[in-house]
Amino acid sequence: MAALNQMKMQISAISGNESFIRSAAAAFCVPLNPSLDVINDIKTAVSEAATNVIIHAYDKPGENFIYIDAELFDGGLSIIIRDTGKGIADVGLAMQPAFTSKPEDERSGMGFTFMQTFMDELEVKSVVGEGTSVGMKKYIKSE
Amino acid sequence: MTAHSEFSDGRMIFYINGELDESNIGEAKEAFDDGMLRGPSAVVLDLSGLTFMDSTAVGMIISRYKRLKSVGAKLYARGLTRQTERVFRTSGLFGIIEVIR
Repeated sequence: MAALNQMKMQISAISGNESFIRSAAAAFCVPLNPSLDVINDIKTAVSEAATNVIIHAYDKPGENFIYIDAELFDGGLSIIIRDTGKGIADVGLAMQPAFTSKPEDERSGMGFTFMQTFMDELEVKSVVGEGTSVGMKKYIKSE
Repeated sequence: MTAHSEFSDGRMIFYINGELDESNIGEAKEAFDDGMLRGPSAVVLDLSGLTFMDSTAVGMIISRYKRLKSVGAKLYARGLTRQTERVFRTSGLFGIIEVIR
């Protein structure tokens, strides 16, 4: 399906950038005239993916980046949030509801569950020592 | 994001305004935990000014729910908006937090 619009963003993996990233993703979808619920779903899922990079991917987040590739097509959004960080050894385990590698930080471990619920498609790929890529799709019907 | 607590009849009303995510959850936790020092018999989360929350906030709420439960205090929420209502539903928070007006 031909892309209506494409966007690439590289932004520091620092705490505080979550808000900008989710706003950017939401704004990118505006031409499809999504409902408020769809916008909220995309913002929430993108926030989860960005947060994962910020808190898990890098030992030195300030020196590293989140890479976002987004494509708007007639019918929805395709977005990939990538990092070049430490990677996930067992993606299946990481995606189990309530699993968190940082239980001492009072984390819910629901990030991937939220991405799965709020988006229509989710694909997580990771290589230890190389990075992680979280691809998501949301089908958007014009309001 | 701003968070502050008010007290009435031994209950803590905890107001969170703006957007709550990983970047500011620390401030919200601090404000909440400061309020908890007064030993409220119940806590009401007033989320009417909260326009966004993600699973980071869920983690904070669950841990404080457990602490409150251990001292016999109940946790309520009010003022949920569309986005926060969806997050509560997806995370199962409705199973442990009673929504009031």
